[in-house]
Amino acid sequence: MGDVATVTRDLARVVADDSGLPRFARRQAAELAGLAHSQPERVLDQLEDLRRQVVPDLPLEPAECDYARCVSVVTFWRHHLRPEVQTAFIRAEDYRRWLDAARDPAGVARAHLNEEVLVPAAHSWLIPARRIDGLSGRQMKARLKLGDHPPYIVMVLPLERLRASGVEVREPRGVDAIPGRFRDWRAGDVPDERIDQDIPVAALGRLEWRP
Amino acid sequence: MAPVAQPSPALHAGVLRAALAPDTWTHTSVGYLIDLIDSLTGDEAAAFPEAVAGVLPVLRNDPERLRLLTEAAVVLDLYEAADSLTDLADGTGDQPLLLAAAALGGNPAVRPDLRRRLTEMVDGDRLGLIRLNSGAGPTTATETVLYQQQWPGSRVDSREPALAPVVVLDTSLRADAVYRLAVRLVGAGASVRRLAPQHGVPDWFGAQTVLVCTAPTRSRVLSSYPTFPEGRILVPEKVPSRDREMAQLLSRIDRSLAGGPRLHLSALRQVAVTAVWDPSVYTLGVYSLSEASILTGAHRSSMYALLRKGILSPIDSGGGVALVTFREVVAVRTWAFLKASSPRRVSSSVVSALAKFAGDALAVSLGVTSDGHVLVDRGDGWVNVLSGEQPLGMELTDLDDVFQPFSYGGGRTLDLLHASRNTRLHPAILRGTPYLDSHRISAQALAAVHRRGGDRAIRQCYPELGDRDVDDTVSVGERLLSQV
Repeated sequence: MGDVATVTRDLARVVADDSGLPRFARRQAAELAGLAHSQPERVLDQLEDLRRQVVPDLPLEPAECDYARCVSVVTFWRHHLRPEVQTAFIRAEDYRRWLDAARDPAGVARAHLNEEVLVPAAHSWLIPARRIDGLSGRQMKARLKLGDHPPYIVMVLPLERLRASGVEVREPRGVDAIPGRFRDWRAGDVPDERIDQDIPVAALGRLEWRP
Repeated sequence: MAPVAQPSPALHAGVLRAALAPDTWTHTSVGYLIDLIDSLTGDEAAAFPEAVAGVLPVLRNDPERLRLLTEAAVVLDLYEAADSLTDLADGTGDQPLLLAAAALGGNPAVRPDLRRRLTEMVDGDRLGLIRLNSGAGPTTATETVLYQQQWPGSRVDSREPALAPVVVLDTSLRADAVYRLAVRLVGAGASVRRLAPQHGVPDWFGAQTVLVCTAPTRSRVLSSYPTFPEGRILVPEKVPSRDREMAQLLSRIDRSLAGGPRLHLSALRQVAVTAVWDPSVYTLGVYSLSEASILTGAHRSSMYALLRKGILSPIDSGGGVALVTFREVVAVRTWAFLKASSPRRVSSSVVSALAKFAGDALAVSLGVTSDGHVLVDRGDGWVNVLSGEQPLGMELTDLDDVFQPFSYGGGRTLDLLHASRNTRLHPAILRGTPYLDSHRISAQALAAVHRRGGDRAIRQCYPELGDRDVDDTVSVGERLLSQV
């Protein structure tokens, strides 16, 4: 992890290097990369603007299989817990250990799940569920190039629920790396990876615990 | 009261630039601060908490980043930031900020008037009061879980695994080393507390706590908690700053937690290792024996000897030059590592066994025994790659350790995949030679340009580098060129 200037420059390059993006976006990103060191915050804002401009025109397709979203316990603690549960745990690590010690960690996590939007669009990176079927947390870390350590919580989104919720998916592009600051992202690094719109809780089938 | 160290504008800027970089959906509480903390001098480290306190209000209009830096302040127990957080909570009415301030407010080094202010602000909320005051005993199961986190002295059963072990760090120790240790402890799953010398000893010393401190603090804690086991008090002469010694201290801390929740030391290992075991990657790379000698820590003459004996099979380059792949580099490096770390004779069968191993797409770890058995862990324990049997009682070397730097006969190897801050190695990139991170520029190429015209020549040849500091990669390249 570098400072904001380095991260911003690398993100601009991720966009500029993605041949699947429109020419104007790549050219603009290349220009922004040159400004990242002198005006990183401004460039980051402009990259966000560029993402908002480009994303609506990227082609969506209906989901064609069960998908899964894999999150670390830190992310689950930070973004997916009901407030009254979250305030009982001062640090994510305590929640992780507490879940790990439970007889049914996935069931407990499900009971703690916040019932609002499950995942906002910008963070809705998905993988076909079959690609991580049966993998341990350590294997998933290697295969999905996850930055955080296991255990992971896998949100399984069955096809019929995705369709009923109107969720469509598309291939991720360089601009999708901006919100998550994925400075090392490259198209095709994780085959069949998809990203989409906001995912409602109604699309969730089950949670799985992957130690 | 000790004077408060004032952060320089540069330190403020450094903390702000680090705090603006991460994303709250993907980053841990402190992982994004490691580079900054590792670069702090002693004086900067002493002022680090005040710098964080100063940056928090700047993030007021960026709630995601404010939240992440607040988390960092809490997990590192930067009680100096409690004032800032209290003001922010007061101004915004944000409940999580108030609870974070209250969590820091439980540290005895926080001023009593600030604690009183926080007590008024939490307005009878039990989850706030428990954070602030160990006298606010729990009345429900949820409150008990919270109480045991904030006041770990109340944990009486060392075997109860449900919460993170607690490591109390004495702020009398050198500040830069303490923060380096603290971020690694957090990364290994510990809950960190900072104990200031001139304040009271709080209710932190229970069945799952370890204290790392100076001798005077040891006496002070034992006089308040006479039954606290001496075996869980570590008094290092100094907190080490070198990686290897830091790893040894972390292991000592972990061992002193035996019988209860432990640290996850494996989480600190470099994550890139697993990616190179894939067969489509592991057998790539093209290295001359000179380059391989630097990367493995084996003398060139030893490598020629392995070739002569047929233990190493070079790539047929057609030009009579012996070239090897990444697989052979790993094999020879493992042999060199075993020879450097074991007093016993190490069989060269290790080299032939590893040189025949073609990689494993599902491997998360690879191991080798000193008599040449290759073992793979696919996430469910070690298995012999040839027989498929699970080994019993075998002493094995995890190849993750082989990839770390190690000393041999007067020299020290580079970290294989991460030779320096900006230098990486991947068998599929630039034929496997070390390269500048995020660029397809080899370390040797940078060093060669540097030899001819210094930094200016590098900027001219590679304008895309801008003002990026590449000195460490140039040094790696120099080392590789020195053998050519």
